[in-house]
Amino acid sequence: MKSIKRMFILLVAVSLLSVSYAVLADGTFTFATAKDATNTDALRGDDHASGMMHYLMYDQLVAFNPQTFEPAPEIASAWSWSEDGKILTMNLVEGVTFHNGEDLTASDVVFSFERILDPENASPQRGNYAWLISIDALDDYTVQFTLEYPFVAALEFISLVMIVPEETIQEIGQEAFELHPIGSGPFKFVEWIKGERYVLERNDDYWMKTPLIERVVMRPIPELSVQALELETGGIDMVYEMAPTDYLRLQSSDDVTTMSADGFSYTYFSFNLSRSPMNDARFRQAVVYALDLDGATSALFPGGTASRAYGQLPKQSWANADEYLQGKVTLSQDLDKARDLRSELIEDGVIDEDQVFTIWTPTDDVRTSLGTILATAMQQVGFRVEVKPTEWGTYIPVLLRQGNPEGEWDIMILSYTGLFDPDYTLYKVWHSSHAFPGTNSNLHMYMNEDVDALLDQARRAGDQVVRRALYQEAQEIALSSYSVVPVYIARVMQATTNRVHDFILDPRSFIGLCNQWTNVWLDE
Amino acid sequence: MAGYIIRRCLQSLLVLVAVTVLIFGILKLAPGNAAQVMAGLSATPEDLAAIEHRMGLDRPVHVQYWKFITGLFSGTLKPATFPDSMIGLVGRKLLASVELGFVAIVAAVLLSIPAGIIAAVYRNTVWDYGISVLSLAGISIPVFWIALMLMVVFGGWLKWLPISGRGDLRFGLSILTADGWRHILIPAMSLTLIQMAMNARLTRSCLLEVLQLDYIKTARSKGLREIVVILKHAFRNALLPVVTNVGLTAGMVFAGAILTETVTAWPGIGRLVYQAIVQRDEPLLFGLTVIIALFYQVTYLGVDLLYGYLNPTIVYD
Repeated sequence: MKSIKRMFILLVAVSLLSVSYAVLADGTFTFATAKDATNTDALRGDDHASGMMHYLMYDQLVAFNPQTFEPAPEIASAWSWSEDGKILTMNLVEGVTFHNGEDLTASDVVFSFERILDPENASPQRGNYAWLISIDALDDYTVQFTLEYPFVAALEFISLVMIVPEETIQEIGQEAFELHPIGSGPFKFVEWIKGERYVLERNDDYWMKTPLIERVVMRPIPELSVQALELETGGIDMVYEMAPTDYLRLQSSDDVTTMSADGFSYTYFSFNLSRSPMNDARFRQAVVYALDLDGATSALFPGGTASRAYGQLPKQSWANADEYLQGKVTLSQDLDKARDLRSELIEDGVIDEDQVFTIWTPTDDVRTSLGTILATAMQQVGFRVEVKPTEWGTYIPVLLRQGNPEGEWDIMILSYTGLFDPDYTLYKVWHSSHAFPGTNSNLHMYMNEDVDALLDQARRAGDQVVRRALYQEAQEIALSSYSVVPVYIARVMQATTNRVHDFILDPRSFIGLCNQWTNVWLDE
Repeated sequence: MAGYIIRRCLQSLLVLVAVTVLIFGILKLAPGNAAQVMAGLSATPEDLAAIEHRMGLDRPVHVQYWKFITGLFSGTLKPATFPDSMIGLVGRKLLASVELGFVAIVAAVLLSIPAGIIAAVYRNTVWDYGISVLSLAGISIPVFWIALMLMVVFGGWLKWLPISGRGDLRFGLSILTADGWRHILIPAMSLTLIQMAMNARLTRSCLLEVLQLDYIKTARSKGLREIVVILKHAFRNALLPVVTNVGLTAGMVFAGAILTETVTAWPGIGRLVYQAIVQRDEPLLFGLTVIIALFYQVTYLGVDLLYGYLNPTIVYD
């Protein structure tokens, strides 16, 4: 009798522990993010996690096909350019409504752009729209953009602007709007609790089609390995970034579907050209000769989860010139040359024998390891090096030379995510108009008139073939300075549970759950 | 007694003021400012100036400080990376941390004190060695590793427990639902192991010390049973350092175990601190630090008062 009782207690205990914990197994799509969002409205910032949710809540005028990267109509049903390429006229789809039932018309579109341009609003995105003089509503369903100069990447920048309801924001104010954001996209805002969950629900009146997923939940889980475990056990449905080791492990899992594509983000290291000896080409070459970047890439990314970058453009880009640059610019490891250059610099009094150089990196594992690899290679040829992994909140001000126009750093490691059009990436990184302490993206302070001229010309040239040649030449000149050295392009590695269907990987890591290309659905 | 409490409260207030000045100073001395992080790497100088202006960063430091202080206590200070009020957010996270800390500490006390007593009473036996080895392991293994291993074993292989998060929050707390309990177990266990290790060792060594004292000999020679000697006479006096240790760590755990909460995605104060640092949310970081300091003060006051109860020879004057 006693043993039966004991058995019973044991059974209860085991069943209590093993109750299925698929709490949200219904129509809810849960995905994990390492960094939480910072806002609900794109006006206030464009970090990736927030951007993913904006992408589901709001519509844009133009969308980009995640596989071909061609612009496609969305709220703008059609558009045309003027002869001189300075006027862009767009017709809007009629009958689109916001989540509160108001109609989406041209005045909302104008408002959505103008609030970014308005200096009063202090939008971090404002700098991206310097080419835009004005936007006007010609009638309820037609808008006209007036450009400063013919700008080929305009459509892509236009695709980044989320259309918000003018009347609502005017009525309740920006702060109240951010608490209850309203868009016209496939999902409606439900709640966001920082650090816990960001919840959206299906917009049954979505103009394009009815989403098949009922709810979307973004859950912040800081550790990527914990995210992968959650995915394996069905606690979440999707992860949009993975460590290579987790990706390779999950490839053989029966419960999970993995997918990957070349990413849009390249990782590089660069030299602070404002100070000696970094402004001496011999020093930069000595460092590059000391490195085996192929080896570093395959060590950091086993199983081919990243490829070497020779230029700065995505592999998918029509302007990618990696093959050409690999032959013309890229240096392969040559320790003797590195040592010779170092001795030459010491003889000329450019560097001291025991001068210590600093390599700054963000704190994530991969880039910290890259920093260590660089340091070890430099030590191998005699340099003394210190690696400084730095929290993001401090790293950006350091890179921007806050309070120290010459900059505290000697060498730094960074990843750069461009748009599909090459203009955005190359102009910001190389053009001298972006080189000044405080705020810039030409962080290394590279200034070259020829490169400036080529980039300006390419920005205004309409023809893709002409632009391709210009960008190739600009990259060849700029990269030959070895002030920026591209290292790798990591693959975008994602995975879903097997109950997720029709998911299309977007190399920009946006999660398109219901758009013109797909409508993701879940098994019961 | 009342005088003592009032004096302690005044002291705490002074400490808090010092903490706010110190924290604000550190925030301002760190390179750069929050506007730069928000603006990212592509804003123009005019845009940056506009963002700084909107965030009030272009005003003199003492004005900014005063705005933070008055904002914090009037409830108008808002996080830079969250549209809703700071009080609601922090309150919610505090509850999560206290809940986790409470479960972990209660479990640690319930397990470690008997373990420490056993180790002391059966000194130099297998029991003692076993408990010592476990304690050493608990102290030396990093908490995030323990948490990860528990996840792999109980979540990944055995599939008994969910990996992360707080689970069913229907009643506001995880410990009020079965699903919530299943979620709290892994983070609580990893915290418990460390607490337990320290407490068990402390209990053992303090008890051993007390057992050498004359009054214990007296008690034994009176013919009292050994269990009465240990639990009634020795244990109570050996308990003081243990209470101190529990109190100190309780302050730490209640105010957010940053590592454990980050690894297990337990949405408590510690995680929020980590997020605020990474996103450089100065108002939030300021508010959090002040609240954490307040928490420490309250816990220490509680520990001090508990002393008096445990050892009536301590007089508050």
